[in-house]
Amino acid sequence: MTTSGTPSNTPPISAEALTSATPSNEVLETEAERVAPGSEPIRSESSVEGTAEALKRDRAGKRAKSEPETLAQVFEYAYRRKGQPLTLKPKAEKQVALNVQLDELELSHILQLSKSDKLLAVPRQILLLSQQVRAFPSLRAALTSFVLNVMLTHPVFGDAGVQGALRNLPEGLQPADALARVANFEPSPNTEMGLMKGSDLRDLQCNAVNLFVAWLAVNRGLSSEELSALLFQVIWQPAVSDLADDNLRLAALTDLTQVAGVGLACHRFRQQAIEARAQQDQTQREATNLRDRLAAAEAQLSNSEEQLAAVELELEALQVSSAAEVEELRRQHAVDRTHLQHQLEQLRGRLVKRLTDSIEMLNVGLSALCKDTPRVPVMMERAEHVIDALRAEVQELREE
Amino acid sequence: MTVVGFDFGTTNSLASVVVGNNVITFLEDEQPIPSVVSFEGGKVEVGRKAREKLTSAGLGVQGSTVRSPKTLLGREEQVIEGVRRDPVKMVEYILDHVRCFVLQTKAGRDLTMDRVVATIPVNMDGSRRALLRQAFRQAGMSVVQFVHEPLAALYGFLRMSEGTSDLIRRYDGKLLLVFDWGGGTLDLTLCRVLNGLLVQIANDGTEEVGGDVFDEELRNEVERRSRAEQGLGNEVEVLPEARKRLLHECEKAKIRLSDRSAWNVFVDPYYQDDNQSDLQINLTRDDLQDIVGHLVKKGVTRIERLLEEKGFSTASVELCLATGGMVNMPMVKNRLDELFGPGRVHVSKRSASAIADGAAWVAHDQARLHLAKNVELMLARNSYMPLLQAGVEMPIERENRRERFDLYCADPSDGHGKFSLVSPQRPGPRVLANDTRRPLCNMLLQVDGKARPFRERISLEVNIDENLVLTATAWSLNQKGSAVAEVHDLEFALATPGARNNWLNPSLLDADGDVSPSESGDLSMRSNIAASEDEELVPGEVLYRHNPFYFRVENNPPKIQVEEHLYYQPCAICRRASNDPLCKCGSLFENREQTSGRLTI
Repeated sequence: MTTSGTPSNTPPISAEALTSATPSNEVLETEAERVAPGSEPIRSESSVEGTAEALKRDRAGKRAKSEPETLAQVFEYAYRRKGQPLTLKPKAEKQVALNVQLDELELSHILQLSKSDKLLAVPRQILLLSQQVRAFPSLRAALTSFVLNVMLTHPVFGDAGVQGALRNLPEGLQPADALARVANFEPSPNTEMGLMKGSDLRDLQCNAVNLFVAWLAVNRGLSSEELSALLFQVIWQPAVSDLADDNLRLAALTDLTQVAGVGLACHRFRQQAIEARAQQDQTQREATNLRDRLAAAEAQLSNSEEQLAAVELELEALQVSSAAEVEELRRQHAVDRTHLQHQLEQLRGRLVKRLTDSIEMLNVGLSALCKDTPRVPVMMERAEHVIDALRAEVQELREE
Repeated sequence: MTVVGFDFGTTNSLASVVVGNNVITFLEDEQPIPSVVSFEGGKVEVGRKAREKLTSAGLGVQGSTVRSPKTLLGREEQVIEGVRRDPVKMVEYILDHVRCFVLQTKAGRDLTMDRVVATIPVNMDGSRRALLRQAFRQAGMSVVQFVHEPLAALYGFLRMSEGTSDLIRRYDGKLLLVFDWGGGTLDLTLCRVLNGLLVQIANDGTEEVGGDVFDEELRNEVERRSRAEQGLGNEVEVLPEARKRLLHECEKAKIRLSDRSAWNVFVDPYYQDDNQSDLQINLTRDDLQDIVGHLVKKGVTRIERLLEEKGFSTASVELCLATGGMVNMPMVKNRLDELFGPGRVHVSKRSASAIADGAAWVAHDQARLHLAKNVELMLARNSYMPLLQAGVEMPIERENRRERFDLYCADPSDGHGKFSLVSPQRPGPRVLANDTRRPLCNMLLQVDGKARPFRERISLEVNIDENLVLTATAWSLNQKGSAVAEVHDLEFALATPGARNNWLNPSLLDADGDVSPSESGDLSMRSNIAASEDEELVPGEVLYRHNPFYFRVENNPPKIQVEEHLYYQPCAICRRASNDPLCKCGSLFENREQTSGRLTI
């Protein structure tokens, strides 16, 4: 899989190439006329009548051989070309640039010419011509201004939102919406335009869209990708829906004459596809990488959770065992305390008993001594007994 | 909850408890609490104060003082100083006194003292056990288990000796004599260690040679000698209370002469003469032996007689455990040494508390009593059906052990089913058919006399309650008769710590004493109860009435039944009764008796 460069690296594309790459049959027919210079264009304007028209033809025929020298001549030349590409030699450019003013007669004549171009085939060429004029801004501005005037006065661009888009006003429609509106233009039935044939109307719509796209490319600086996208969205893709069967599709593919535009558009799309694919690959790699990292993180998390659980279990076991140990120590302490208390009480009881016995013994012995006839043996054996008992007690206490 | 060992003795009472692995005995100034209660002047006094009021030896009521009210349990109320006193209440006073004493000591103040293992004399029957339990309950204590005093003493001795289990193994199968000679009674118990169970073999006891009798004899002799020395006749009275003081002095003299060769008994004043003369007699150890020697001899003779009755010699006794205050008398100890040899006499250092200590260990170890010998029902034709097997645990507090049996009457013709519960002399569940049986109780149950043998179903239930009283109840289901009998003197064994307690498949244990099936002069009831329908159990004359075809030759009836049948028939030839000595016709059949032992008629 190969990847192309970034969009910024794509070579610049002229608006002419794109706006002439109309996939519809009608446009292709027009292009066929264009590639046959000198022949009468099928879709050219035929409404110029009378002497004026003859005069013009004469002039045109005369001037056709010479380079235009005035702006009016440039326009005449343009309208005479009936939508075919225009060129000006540098000398002619210089000559025209010296006089970019139109007098009344010329203006009226030009306006008449513009009105005769009901299919709007010429203004786009004028606009493209203006882009060729680089050394004479005044000429360029005059050409552009003329095209704008033609667009603003034409019913196709009569919608306020479209006009706003033309003038790049805040209230104007977005380019895609404006284009869609132009592409779907339907003239009023009672007007002259409403009587147009369907094919003419389609030509008009197509020309208007191309003009609008060219205008946007020139004045808004839209990139070729954006232009391709707009055209694809507004013209090319809807046109595909008319290709009902394979035969029509075969015809459409093989009837292409202006292949440069198609090639350019396809190149752009291919480029985009390659870039998108590259982007997708990159994204997939990143996603795979992220998934791997996620899996690793999850594994680590799981491992950590297991370790945590093990540690918690261990902690719990330790807590239980320590609690049991504490409880056992407490119990043992209580047992020891109880036994010590008991021993103390026993000791106290034993001493009390021994002392009580001793007192009683000595008491009896004393009373025996106090008799008129003292009972000395009674006292002696009791005294001996008390002494023995106390000695034994002392010994016992020492041993304890 | 700690269970306390409680020795409610004839002379003294005291409580012990095992804390940790040592026993604590609650002695009052190194002495047990006398089992004496006094009602002098309507004031109730218990223990030492009451004992000081005693003027003579002997148990029971002495004026306003009652010594060992335990002996009065089961008797009617006693009139003491004009007031009727319930023996249970008297016992309660002592029990409560001991309980309060324990609870006021520092070592006992943490005890609840509401559950006890109580020791009882071997001869205390079931009804008295129930009354004693009631007295304990009234004093705020429930008796978890009763245990006989000598068994408790022996258990305590084994438990407090070093290497208890080795000691038990050493004594396994051997005879042990527990010899408790206290102030009131002499109790003898012959025990045997069988598979870790302490089994009582025989018991004996007497109040005739208690320590108090010694004191009284000594006092009388001292007074006699004093009168003789001072030339005073019997007409000279003794001052009030003087005789009581002399009795106490004599008791002291008896004790002193244990470690001294002579002692002066001196009471001043003693005689109610003009000079209020005193009493002084110098007593030597020989004098003491002369005065009370016959009592010692009498006590020791009880031992010899007990052993003789059971067919043992003193040499067969492996250990003589001597407890009680009297065993400290040199002459008693010497006599025991002479009998058994010094190595086999063990005088307990804690003789006063040996029984209470043992009870405390029983409580601590939760040692249970087990039935020592089978309880059997005698069946028709002298076979025996075990009702309760030796080795079964006896119930403790709030427990009962109950068994029920369905039986038949093999001969209901007299309208009575005759139940005889017996116990073999041989301990353990395995006994021989011809072992001697001791009758426990007999019952007569009304049955349907008109019914055929085995027709009416009868039931027998035996129940041992918490007081270790066996109650046997029999019912005849059709005649609606019932009969009840109680057995109060079952024999028990006490499980030692670590006892295998596996009497379930034991070998045949040695019988103690004579094993002949019956003794001459014994009157035994012929049981007519059967556990299964077997016509061979029916007496011949009864069976003939119901089934004459049974006796046909081809049925080959058992000889005994044929003889029974013929015994009640007149002679077929001379028409005389079968037992008429003038009838010689029976000899005609002798030649026709076949070798099979069956008769052909």
